[in-house]
Amino acid sequence: MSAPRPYALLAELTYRCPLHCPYCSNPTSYPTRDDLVTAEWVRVLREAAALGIMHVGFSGGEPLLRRDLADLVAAARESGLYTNLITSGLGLEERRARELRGAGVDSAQVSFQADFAELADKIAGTKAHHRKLEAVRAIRDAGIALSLNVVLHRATIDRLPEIIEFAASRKAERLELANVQYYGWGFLNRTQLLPTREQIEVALRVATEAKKRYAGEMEIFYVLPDYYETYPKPCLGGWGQRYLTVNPAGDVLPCPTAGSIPGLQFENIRERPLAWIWHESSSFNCFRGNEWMKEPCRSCPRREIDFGGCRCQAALLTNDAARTDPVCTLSPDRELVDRVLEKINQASATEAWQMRQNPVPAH
Amino acid sequence: MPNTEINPQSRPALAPKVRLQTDQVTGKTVLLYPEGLLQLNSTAQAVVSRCDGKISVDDILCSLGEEYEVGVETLRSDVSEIFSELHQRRLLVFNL
Repeated sequence: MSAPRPYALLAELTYRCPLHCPYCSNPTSYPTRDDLVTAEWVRVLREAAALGIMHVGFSGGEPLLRRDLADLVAAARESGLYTNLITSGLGLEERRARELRGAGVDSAQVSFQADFAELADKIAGTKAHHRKLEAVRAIRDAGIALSLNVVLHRATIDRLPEIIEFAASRKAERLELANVQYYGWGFLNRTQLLPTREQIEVALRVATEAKKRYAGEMEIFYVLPDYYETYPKPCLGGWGQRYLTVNPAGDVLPCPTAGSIPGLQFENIRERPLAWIWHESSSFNCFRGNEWMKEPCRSCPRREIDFGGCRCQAALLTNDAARTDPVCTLSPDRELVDRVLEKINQASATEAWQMRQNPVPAH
Repeated sequence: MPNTEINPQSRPALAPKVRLQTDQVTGKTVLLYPEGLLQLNSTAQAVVSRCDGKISVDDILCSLGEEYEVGVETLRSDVSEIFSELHQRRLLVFNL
């Protein structure tokens, strides 16, 4: 089948990160290979622009750990890409922020773990909150557009009003309130992180009200945890439709967590041109369109709305990436999600989080 | 909601987060901003390309009128609509 054009590239520059957030969606294990070098990333960026891509997000891990970040930003800018830096903020002091702005960074999205240091640092597993406040100042002073991203889960969701006020006080133009998505480390900590139904209902009211109150001042995005939804999320607008991810070692993935799907082989930028991988590779074509769908998706009127949901979630929960996303209430596997919800809505004791670790170098 | 009344003396400019770019595939002009893009039709493109922070809304109208050889009043409602949408979406800022 013919491929549409992609619009956005997520460039995961490294899986190393100074934070240890238990909800991280990075892979929990990863065969360590050499990270792409500067010239290889520059080639990826050029090929991405030629393919029609207009947005690049530099992410990770922590992209600031790459010393050549400004060079990569400059290369993206030269190719006409809109550049967003997705960062913890650690290591982003005044000089670096100015350097990155000079190289052409358009916007920065800084993660915060909570609205106050004690809780935030507990979640990050390191003293990070105050350094993030400094990073935010440096970003604003350098003239880079600022978004904040706060991940919501059982330990933070009740503080939503304070979190929203905190973001407004930092003069963020945009606030993403993202409930944890259960992949990678987040999946390991699923029963510790999932909010209760009651928490979700209160949070939705708070977010809806705040969206209205801050209209024109700060854009607020609130993403429900899909376990509580009736239908699955239209994951990335469908497999291989609009987005692609290049991971630190140069593997090209339809989404950042696709590496978790057993049996899928991904092409590497060191061996193939990006355009070939996007158009021709079996990893991009296997779930494109709706030929691959089984029932109930195959004959479902919603198949063009949510595309069967998330392939990674189907694989994680059922061991078969071609099944309907089990969060869908029409899925024969919905019970797998309901059982988890039942457990967490009864249990009051919270187990300890398993904190994120960096990949172990092979040599 | 933000006040969408636009002062005709104000000088519109792209918001700092916004970039004007040519789409390499379609050749069309787009506005890029965090997590999104907006494809401009030819009228919007003619308007936005004049938003350099130096020319007022009224002068932009006049300049469009000259280029397309139509009266300012004919253009006013279309152009106002473009300005107010881009203002509401915070893609343009209006300085006095």
